[in-house]
Amino acid sequence: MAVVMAKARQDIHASDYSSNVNVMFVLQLLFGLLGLLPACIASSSDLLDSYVSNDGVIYADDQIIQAIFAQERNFTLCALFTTERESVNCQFCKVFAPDFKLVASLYDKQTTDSEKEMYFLYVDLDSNREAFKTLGMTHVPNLVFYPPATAKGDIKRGLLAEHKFTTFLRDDSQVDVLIDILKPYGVNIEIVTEFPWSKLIEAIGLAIITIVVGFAFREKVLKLWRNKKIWLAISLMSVIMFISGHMYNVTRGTKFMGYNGKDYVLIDPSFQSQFAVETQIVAVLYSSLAFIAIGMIKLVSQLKTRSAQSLATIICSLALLVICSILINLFKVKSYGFPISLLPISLF
Amino acid sequence: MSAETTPLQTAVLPEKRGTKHGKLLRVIKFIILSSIAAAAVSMRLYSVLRFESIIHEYDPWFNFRATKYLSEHGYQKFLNWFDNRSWYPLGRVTGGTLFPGLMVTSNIVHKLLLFLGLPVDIREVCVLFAPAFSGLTAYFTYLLTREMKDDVSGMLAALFVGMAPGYISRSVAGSYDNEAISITLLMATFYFWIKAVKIGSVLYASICALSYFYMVSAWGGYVFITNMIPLHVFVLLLMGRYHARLYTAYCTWYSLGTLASMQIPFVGTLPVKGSEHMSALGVFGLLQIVAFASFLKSKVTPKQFKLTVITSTVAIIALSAFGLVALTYAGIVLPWTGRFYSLWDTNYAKIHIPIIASVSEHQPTPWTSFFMDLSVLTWFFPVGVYLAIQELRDEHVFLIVYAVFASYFSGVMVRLVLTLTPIVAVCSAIAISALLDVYNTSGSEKETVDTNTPIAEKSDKTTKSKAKVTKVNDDAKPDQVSFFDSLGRKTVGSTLSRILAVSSFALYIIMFVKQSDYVTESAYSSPSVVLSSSSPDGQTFLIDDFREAYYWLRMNTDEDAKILSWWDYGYQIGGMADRTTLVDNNTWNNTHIGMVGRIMSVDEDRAYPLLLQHDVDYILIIFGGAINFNGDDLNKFLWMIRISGGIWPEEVKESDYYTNGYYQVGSDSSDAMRNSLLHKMSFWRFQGMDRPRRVKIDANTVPSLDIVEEAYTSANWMVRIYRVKKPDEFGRDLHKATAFDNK
Repeated sequence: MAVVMAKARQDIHASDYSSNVNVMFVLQLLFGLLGLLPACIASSSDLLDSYVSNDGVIYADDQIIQAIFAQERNFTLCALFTTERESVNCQFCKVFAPDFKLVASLYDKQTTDSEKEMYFLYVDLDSNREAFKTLGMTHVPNLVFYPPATAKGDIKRGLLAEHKFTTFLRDDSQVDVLIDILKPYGVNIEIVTEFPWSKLIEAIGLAIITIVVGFAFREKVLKLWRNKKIWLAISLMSVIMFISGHMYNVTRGTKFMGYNGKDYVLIDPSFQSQFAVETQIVAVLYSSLAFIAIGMIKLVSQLKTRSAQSLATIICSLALLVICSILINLFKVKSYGFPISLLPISLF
Repeated sequence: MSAETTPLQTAVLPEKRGTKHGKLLRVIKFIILSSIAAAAVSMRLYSVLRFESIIHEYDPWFNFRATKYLSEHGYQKFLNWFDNRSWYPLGRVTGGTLFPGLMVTSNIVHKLLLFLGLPVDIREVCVLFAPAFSGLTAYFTYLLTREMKDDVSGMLAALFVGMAPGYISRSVAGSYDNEAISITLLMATFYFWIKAVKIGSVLYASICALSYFYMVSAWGGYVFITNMIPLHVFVLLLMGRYHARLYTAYCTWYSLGTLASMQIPFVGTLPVKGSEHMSALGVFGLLQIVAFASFLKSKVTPKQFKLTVITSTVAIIALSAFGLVALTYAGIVLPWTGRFYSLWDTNYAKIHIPIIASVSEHQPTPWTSFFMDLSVLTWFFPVGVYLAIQELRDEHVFLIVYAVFASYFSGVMVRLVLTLTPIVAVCSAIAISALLDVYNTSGSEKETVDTNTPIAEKSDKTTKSKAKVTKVNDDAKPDQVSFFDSLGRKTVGSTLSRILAVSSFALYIIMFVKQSDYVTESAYSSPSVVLSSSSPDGQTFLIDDFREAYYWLRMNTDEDAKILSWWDYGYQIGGMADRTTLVDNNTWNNTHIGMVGRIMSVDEDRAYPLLLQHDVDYILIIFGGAINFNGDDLNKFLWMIRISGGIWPEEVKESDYYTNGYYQVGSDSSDAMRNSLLHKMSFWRFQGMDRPRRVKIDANTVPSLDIVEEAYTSANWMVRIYRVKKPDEFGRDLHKATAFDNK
C-alpha cells in the first residue's frame, strides 16, 4: 500500500496537476466467445442494480468488487479509481470526480434498469485497499473500462491491455470529454440544459423585495443615493481596481498566489500574466499614493503654522518617494531591463 | 432659451485680451502648446529613425492599399470598389465594408501638399499621418481640459496625452490605422459636446455632431461616443440636473449626428437598428419626457403632477422595454454584435467566437500593461477623479463617467487602453494643476491678476449652482465658491513646502517622460514587417524575411496566383506582393477562415482536394524555429484548430492535437499533429533545435511531403512558400508520383 501511496504522490507532482487520466482500454479477449454464448449470460446486472446509489454511481467497497469480478458480466464497467485523501492532494481527482458523478447520474436518468449496458463504479483508495492491489492500480485518478466478460476473473492487471491517453482539457468541464469517451461503448448521453426557472423566479423575487424595501425606506435610500461620499468611494474604488488589472483576474480566473514547491510566491515574474494577489498589492500602492497626493492638495494648506505645513509636506513627499520606489521595483521584477530607478527599496 | 444663453455668452467673452499682460501670456501659451505638439510628433518618429519610412503591421497595409486605390480611381469608384483579389473565390465588397475617413483625409492632405507645390509621395503622407494627428489630439485635449479647470491643466493634459505610451502605441509613424485619426476626433467631439452642454448652444452641438460624423466615418469605435454622451445625459438626469441647455445640446447632437452617421455606407441603418445605438435613442426619448414633465410642473398643482409623472414614467418605461425586446425578437432591431457583447460577458468570446478571442488585442489587461502605458499617471488619475467629484459641475460628471467606464473597458480588452489614455491624461492634469494651485508662490497676487477670468465665469457659476442647489445639494451653500477656486484661494505659505512639493512632482513627471521615451523606443516602434534583433556582440541586425518573401512572390509567381496563408498575413500579401489571397485581416467570414485552418490542420490526403477546390497555387507559412521567432504559425496553430474545429467538429478535434494534454510538436507529438499539413510544411527539410518550442527536430520528423513542393524559403527560414502540385499527369496519386520522382 505504501507503494501505491508513494506512486500516487509522485505521479501528481510530476505532472503538476496534469489534466490527463490514463484511460486503460482493456481489449476484449473473449469477444468471439461472447457472441456464441448469449443464452448462458445470467443477468448479473440485477445484482448491481441494488448497489447503485441515488446518483447513479456504485460506491464500491472490497466486497462489491469481489462480487462483480467473481462472476460473468453482460455489461461494461466504467471504474474511476481515485482518492479524496487530503495527504495525497490529488487536484485532478477533485476536479474530475464531480463530473464523473454527473455523467453517471445523467446516464442513470436517461436509461431504464433493463437497458443499462454500463455501470459506473467509484473506487476510493481508502475503502478499497484490496481492490487496488488485485486490479493492479498504481496511480490516481485512473479511469478504466472493463468490457463484458464470461469467464470468471479474466480481467485483471491489464495484461494485453492497451494503454491509451485521452486528453482532458485544462480548466474546463470534463463532462464533454467523458461523454466522448463513452460513445465507442454504445453509451450515448445527452446533456439537457433546462431553462433556469428557479433563477428567473429568484431574480423576480429579488427585484420585488428591492422595490418594496426601497419604497418603504425611500427617505433613507434617497439620502444614501444623494450621498456624495458613497459615489466618491465607488468611483475611486472601481477606477483603482480596474487599472490594477482586476478584470484580468476575473476573465482568466487567475490563482491567488503561486506555489513553487516550497514557498508561496506573490509575484508572477512574467510580464503578460499575474496572480490575483498582485492586483491587491498594486491597488494598495496606487491608492496610498493617490491619497497622499490628495492630502497634499487638500489638507496641508489647512494647517495653521508654516512649520507644520513644512513638516507635513516633508512627510508626504518622503512617503510618496518610498511608495513609488516600491512600485517601480515591483514593476522591475516583471519587466526585466526597465531603465528607471528611484530608491532601492523593494518588498517583493 | 435665447434669453438664457445670451447673458452667459457675453459674460464669458470679455477676457483679458486687451491688456499687454494678456498678450504676452497668449504668446507664451502658443509657444508651449506648439512645443508640446512638436514633442509629441517627434517622439513618434523613432520608428522611422530606427527602421525606415515604412507602413507597419497588418491593417495599415490594407489602409495603404485602399488609399492608393482612392487616389488612383477617385471617390465614386472607391465607394463601389469590389475587391476580387482578396477572399478568393468570394471577393469582398470593400467600398461598402470600410470606414473611409482615414483614406479620404490622407488623400485630401496629399492633394493639399501637391497644391502647395510639395511633391511628396502618398506613402510619406500615410507614414507620417498618425504623428501629425497626435499633435492635433494634444491641442484638443488642451481645449477639453481647459473647460474642466483652467489653462494650466489644459497644457499639462496636452503634454500627458501627447507623451503617454498608451496612445503612442497606436500612433507611431507608419502605424497608418483608423485609431491614428480617431483619437483626435474623439477628443474633438467630447470638447464640442462639453462646450455645447456648458452654454446650451445649438452651434456647438452641431459642430459636435459634425465631428461625430467624421468619427463615424473613421473608426468602428465611434460606438464609444454613441454610448458615452447619452450616459452623461442620463447620469445628469438622475442627479436631477435637467436643464434647457442639456435638452438643446443633446437633441441637436442626436438628431444631426444620427442622420449624418447613416450616410456612411458601412454604417447604413445601424444607428436606428443596432442595439449598441439603442441607449442613445432611449435617452433621447427620456429627455423629451423630462422636458415635458418640467413644462407640466409649471402648469399644474404639485399633487396632480406627482401622480401623472409616476404613472406615465412607469408606463412608458415598461412599454419601451417591451417594445425593444419585441423588436429585437422580430429581427428589426439587431442584437448586439459579438465584439461588443464580449465586453460585458468576459467569457462570451472564448465560447462563441474563437476568432475574436484569438486576437491578442482582445485579451484582458494585466496591471503591468497599464503601468507600462500610463506610468505614474496611474496614480495621478484617481487624484484627478477625486478632485472632479469634489467640483462636480455638469462637465465633471462627464469626466467621472468616462473615467469609470473607460477603465472598465480597458481592463477587459487590452486595445481599449487607447480610449482610456486621454481621460487619464485629463484627470492627471487636473490633479497636478490643483497641486500647483495650492503650492503657488503668488497666492495673493493670483487673487488680483488671474482671477480676472474666473470672476466673469464665477458669476454664472454661482447662478448655476443656485439653480442646482435647490434641486440636489442640500449641504452646499449658494454663496460658496467652487472647489477648484477655493484651492487657489488658500495656498501653502511655507516656502520649503512649495519647493518640496513642486520638485517631487516634477521628478515624477520627468520619470513619466523618460519612461514613455523608453517604452516608445523599445516596444512600440517596431514595424512588425522588419524585425530587429541583436547579435551577442551587441550589434543590431535587421530581419527582413517578410519583404524578401513577398518580393519573391511578386517577381516569380503568376499575376493571378492564389496564395493561401493564415489570415494575419492576408493584408501584407495583398499590399506588398500584390497577389490574390484567400483570407485576410478583415475577418468577415469565419467559415472561410475555418477552411484555411482546416487545410492547415488535416493530413495531406484530406488537404489536397480542398486545395484543388480553392484553386490554391501557393501556400505561405511563417516558421520561427530557426531564429526563435515566437509569433509563427505553429504557435498560432491552436487557434487554427479551434476555429476550424468549431465548424468541422468531426474532422478537426482539438484534443487530438495534444500530447498528454500539452501542446507539443516534433516526433513525439500526436498523430494528428505530426501529420497535419502545417506541421509538415514547417519542419520539412529542417533539422536542429526548434527554438521557440524547445524541441529537437531530426530528419525523421517529416519523412515525406508529397502534395506540395518547396518553392521558396527566406534567408532566416521565417517565411516558407510551397507550391501546390498539380494532379499527376498519369493519374497516379501524388505519393506514388513523388516516390517515383525521388528514385
